[in-house]
Amino acid sequence: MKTTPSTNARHGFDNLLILVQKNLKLLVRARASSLVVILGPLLVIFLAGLAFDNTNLYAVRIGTYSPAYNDLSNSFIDKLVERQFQITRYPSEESCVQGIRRGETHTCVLFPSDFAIGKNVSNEVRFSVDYSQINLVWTILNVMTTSVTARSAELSRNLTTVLLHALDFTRKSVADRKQNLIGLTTQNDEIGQRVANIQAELLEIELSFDPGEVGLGNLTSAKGVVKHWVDNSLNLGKTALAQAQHFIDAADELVRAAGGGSTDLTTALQESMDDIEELTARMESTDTLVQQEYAQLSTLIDQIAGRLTQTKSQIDLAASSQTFTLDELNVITRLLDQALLNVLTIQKSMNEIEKVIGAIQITDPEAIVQPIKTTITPVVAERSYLNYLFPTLIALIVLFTAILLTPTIILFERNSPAYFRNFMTPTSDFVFLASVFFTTAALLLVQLAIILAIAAIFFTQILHAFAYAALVLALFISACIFLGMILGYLFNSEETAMLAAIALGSMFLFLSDIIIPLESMPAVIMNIAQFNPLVLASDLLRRTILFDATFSEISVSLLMLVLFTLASLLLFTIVYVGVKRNAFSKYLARFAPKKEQA
Amino acid sequence: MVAAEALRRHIQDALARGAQRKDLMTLLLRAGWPQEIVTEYLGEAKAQSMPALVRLRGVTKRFGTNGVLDNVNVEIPPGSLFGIIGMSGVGKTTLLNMLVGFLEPDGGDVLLQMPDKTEVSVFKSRDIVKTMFGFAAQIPSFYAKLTVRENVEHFAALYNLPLAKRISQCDRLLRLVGLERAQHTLAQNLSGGMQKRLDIACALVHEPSILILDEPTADLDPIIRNQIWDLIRQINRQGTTIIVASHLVSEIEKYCSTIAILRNQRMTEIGTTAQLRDIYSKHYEVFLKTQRKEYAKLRAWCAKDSALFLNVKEKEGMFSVQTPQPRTALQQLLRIIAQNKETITHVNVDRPSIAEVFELLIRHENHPLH
Repeated sequence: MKTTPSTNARHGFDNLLILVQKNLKLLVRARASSLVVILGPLLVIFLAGLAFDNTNLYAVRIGTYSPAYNDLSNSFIDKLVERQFQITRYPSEESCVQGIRRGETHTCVLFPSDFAIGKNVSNEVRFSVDYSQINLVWTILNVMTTSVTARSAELSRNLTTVLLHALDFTRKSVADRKQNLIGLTTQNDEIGQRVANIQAELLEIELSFDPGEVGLGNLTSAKGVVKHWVDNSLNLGKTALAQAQHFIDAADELVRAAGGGSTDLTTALQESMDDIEELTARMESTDTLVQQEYAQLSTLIDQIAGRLTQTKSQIDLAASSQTFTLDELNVITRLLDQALLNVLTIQKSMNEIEKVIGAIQITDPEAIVQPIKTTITPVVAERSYLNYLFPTLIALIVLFTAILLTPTIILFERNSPAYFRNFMTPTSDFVFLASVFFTTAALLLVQLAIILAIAAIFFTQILHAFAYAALVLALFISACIFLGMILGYLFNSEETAMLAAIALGSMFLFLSDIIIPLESMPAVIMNIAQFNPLVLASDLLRRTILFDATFSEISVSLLMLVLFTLASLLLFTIVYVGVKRNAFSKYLARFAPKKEQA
Repeated sequence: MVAAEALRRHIQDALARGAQRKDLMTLLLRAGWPQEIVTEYLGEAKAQSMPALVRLRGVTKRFGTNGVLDNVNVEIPPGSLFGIIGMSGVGKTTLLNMLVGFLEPDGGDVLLQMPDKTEVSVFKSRDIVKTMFGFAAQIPSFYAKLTVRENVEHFAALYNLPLAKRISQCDRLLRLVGLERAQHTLAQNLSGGMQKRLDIACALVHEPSILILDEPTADLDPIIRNQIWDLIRQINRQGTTIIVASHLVSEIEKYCSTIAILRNQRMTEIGTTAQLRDIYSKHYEVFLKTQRKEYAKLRAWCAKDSALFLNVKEKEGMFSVQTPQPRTALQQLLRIIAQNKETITHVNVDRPSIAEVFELLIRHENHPLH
């Protein structure tokens, strides 16, 4: 029969259908692992749909420990119970942490022993979390922090209310006490004035005294002069008396020497002698008297001098006291000035306090505790976790199904004895390769159709925005199938290919933002990971399914996905050409008797 | 056996003299020869008189330093049932793989005669090879997880047969190989013989001119082997040239019209059974079996005339002796038996089997017999 391009094409298409049909039959009839590959993703999405069709983490189990549970710690725990978390109280911190390690709980809340409000304590509530549960830890931390923050805010509101009450009371008290301060200022001023008066009075008191001015020295000098003169007079009288005595004696002796002279003379001499003796006696008496009087005068003058000295001392003391008093009054004046200054400062401060308190406009405790309220509004209408997970789940299912199923189909064929007979037929290699591609694609489409049907139960938006998503899926499916085909032709055993597929899938998974955010990766890895097809596809699917992105918004990422798909195709072509050269010889060697080639 | 050989030679001679095949068949059937035998021998004779359908010309193949085939030259006539025998590992499968172009030779070529009598190299016309050859490898080549019918239909589709033709062909082949009742059974659940038959059916879906069978009866029990050979002969009788490689020499000898012995990397001997026997042994072999199975006197008698009686053997209660004069030898032996009042239960005079020839060749690998 003559063959034309059109008949060739028809045969090619017929054969393609036959081969796809055959591949599907073989897969369905093959061992359970193939069914797992086919049905596994459907089961995953179904379970994910059931599991994540909510916005809470009800299954989170929380362990708590407090050395002494009190109302405050219990209120925190009640808050967690309100969110329907399962709470387990542990007897010790260690057992609580061990609970996480044993998998009994996801996190452990450790309250301090002196956990109370109003005391001067840190009130540090600690969370022990298992960072190895990398997919859960942030969610748990978020939930726990939210719960604790809520209770903490509640307490803050109470404390703020008390604080505001105190502030209000202060404001009123300041207003009331301002008059007192004004009175205090006036009184201070009055006191100052009086002190000034006292100072003036004191300054007017003259307490200067010079004893010299009294003439006591002159008196003493005069006393001495008088005494001198008296003494001189007395001495002169005595001398005169002595002279007189002497003359009389001399006269007497002369009389006597003259013989007895006249009795009268003698008598007169005697008498004169008597007189002189009497005068001398009297002189003596006068001297004694003078001495006594002088002594008395002297004593009196000394007494006067002493009194003057005493008076001076007293006046000096008074002057000193005056000086001291004036000094003190100066100090008092200064203190009064300082006090006035302080009062004025206090007054100013109180004015400022009154002004500041008066300036506080927010008096609502809620507004002070949470001056900025945050409300998280999802950018899409849906709010269940499945919505957010759905694009990523789709991308993951496509990736793993394609890279696991495609090598399975290829190696089913390559390791089948029928490969030999296929090689004998005129059906081209391209048709066989296309059959592998379309078998996997058909299975994936069936899976996706079922997934979408299941997803439609949980939410509906996806069905409206599937046009671009379909384009993204077509590209990503193609890229993943090409990767799977590379594995199918690179490896000769199904087991090795499976291991390689899992390794490749894991690599894509770990270099994506599914487990940890790209932003937390080292810069170099992040730059590489941005070109990860899984990242590209899940991002594109998220944007197309969840955000109804327009073509222009996704064009760059889409172009990158197209390039990756073409690169996969090119790489597959290189691998296939390289492997095919020896593939059939290897096949023959496997099935032909070894001895012939030994 | 002697008669059969005589018939074969007679047919060849008659055809060589220009006798018409139709006349010859009528004549032989009237003479009482079974139709099956006559058809087979006529077919063989026709094949030998026709130009080669497949021709190996100086084919050489090495795997690394290990030479497998060295300057192999074979011509396989159309319609023949061509047997290739050789020890395991001698290169039979390699040769078959080269016949269909799976392996390219290091030297030489494999030429295929086209309907317009032109010859093409199988290595340069792979599409033609794919349509003209059917191949049943030593290991059955089909999908174990598909049913018998699905397998046949699948391969029929890959040969671009239209749907209607595909179905009719499938029915015909399943009938031919006797798997009609098992057509909905998964191939993996078939017995060894049935799997081999399914494999042959798959190889025939596109009605190839040449069917290549590699060890078609290996690992099968004798009954199944016979069934497979019956099938092979049936296919051959329908006009398909069949090339069979096997290490089971007796089967090749029994069923193949032409036999090639592959040894020392070469096709050292090619011809019909009779021709090979003629080449390697001019002696006949007399087989006797008596009721008492006591052959001491026969042995003693044979020992007296070593020129007439050669290679005396007793095996499994049977007495055998080789001789260049079978008639004389048989007469003498019968006389001795009669003298001893023995009762003969079996007597046969035949040429040494190909198996024996093959055994002889192998035994004297390094000592040429002629």
